[in-house]
Formats: sequence, structure tokens, C-alpha cells
Amino acid sequence: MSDIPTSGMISINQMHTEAGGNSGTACTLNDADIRGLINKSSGAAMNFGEWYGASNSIDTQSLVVGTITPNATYTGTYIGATQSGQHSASSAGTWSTGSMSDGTCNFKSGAYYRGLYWQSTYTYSSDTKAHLNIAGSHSNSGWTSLNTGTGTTLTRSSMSYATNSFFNTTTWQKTNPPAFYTSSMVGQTKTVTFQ
Amino acid sequence: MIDYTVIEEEGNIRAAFNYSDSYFEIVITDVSEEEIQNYIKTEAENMYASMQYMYELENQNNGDSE
Repeated sequence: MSDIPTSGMISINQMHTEAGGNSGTACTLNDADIRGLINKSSGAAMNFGEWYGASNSIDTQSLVVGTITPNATYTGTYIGATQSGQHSASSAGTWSTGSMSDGTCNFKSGAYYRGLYWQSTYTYSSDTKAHLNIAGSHSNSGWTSLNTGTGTTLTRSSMSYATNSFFNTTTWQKTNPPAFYTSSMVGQTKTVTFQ
Repeated sequence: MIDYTVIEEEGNIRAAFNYSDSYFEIVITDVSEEEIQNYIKTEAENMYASMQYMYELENQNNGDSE
């Protein structure tokens, strides 16, 4: 959801935070990141009507939090949304737990999401992990950060990345992230946004 | 010994390499030269294991539904 309302009063601070700036810090309407929200070039004319609901999100998903323990020894417990079917990129697949809707990735040509989840420690790893999985083989580009809808932002540059043609999966992982999904959230719906 | 190349992006450093039929970019920010081989191998194996178990879970789901 954008920081900028769809009607009523708009503040430049709302524009700034939506563009990724820190609340209360100096900015101008002509800053590249701010005018970029409504695709304006430097010095271009703009009116307030163009700003209503402006967002820097390149995709938004409604994620229902679930939990599953695929294998306690080798993978631990996942909390979030996890879809199986990695072996077929063209398949919508099935959600093993939780869900994401609409379930397709705008910035990867409509590829199916396979999951966004927090992974517990397990026998062979003392680290927790954040996972973002998308069906198919994709480049490590096209997005800069994701907001989990629970106050945590994960930046792509800080995440490990892998592709595997057998599993037909692209995955991003972050080691020891905040516990952005927890067992107490199971059944709740969170709004996930990508920038 | 895993041959890797270094990618720097927004203050983070990743090691890029192929391992076990997969392509990986593992974040190595703050990882020492002495640790790096074991670190990237372990991280790659952990990522591969996660992918493998989701694949096996799908097979298990298919088996349950048939």
C-alpha cells in the first residue's frame, strides 16, 4: 500500500517516504526518486491529481501466512507461503502452506511465485533464512527490495541468489533475517510489496 | 576448490559460481578469505537442499492425491 493517499491532502513527506526516503528529512518534488513515482522528467510540470495513490511498488501480493515442516532434520520449519511444483515453470502449482495472490510476478514476466517464507534453524544450519522463490530461471535483477508486510524490508543486494534448471526455480535467500513471519501470524493476510 | 567471481552491489559482495548443476551468487560480505571456500560450499548446499525438499514435497503431494 502506498504512503500516498488516493484522495484528500497529500504531504511531500508522504511522497518522500513512498520513494524510499526517511521521514522528516529534506527533499524536493524535483528529486529524481520522488518525481520518478509519477514518471516525470526533471523540471516537468505536474499537478496534485497525478500524485493520488502514486506508488513505487512494482508488484503487490496478498500473502496468507501458513507453516509447514518439510523435513525437521534437513530443512526445519517454514513460516509464510510455500508452493511446490518447482519442476514445471509453466505450472501454477499448488500451495503447500499459505498462499500468495495473485501469485504472479509482474517484474519477471508473470512468472509464478513459489514462495516467500522464513525458515527456522535445523540440524545442519544454525542460521535462520528468508526465502523468495519464483518459478523458472531468472536474472538477479528487476527488483531492489521487498516489504514483507510485517515491518521487515529485504534488499536484493543483501541476499544470496541461485537458479537451478532441474527444479526450475530461482531463489533469493537472506541469512538470519528478522523473524518477519511467526507462528502467531498463521492464518493472517499480509500485504507484500516489491520495489 | 570452487572457482568463483566477485560481484559487488550496493555495498554487498557476492561470490558467483556454478556448483551441483546450479548457478549461485552467495553473499560474502564480511566473510574472510580463510572461510570463504567452506562458507560458499555450505551455503550453496543449504540452498540446494531447500530446493530439493520442495521438489520432493511436490512429489509427495502428487502421490497423496493419486
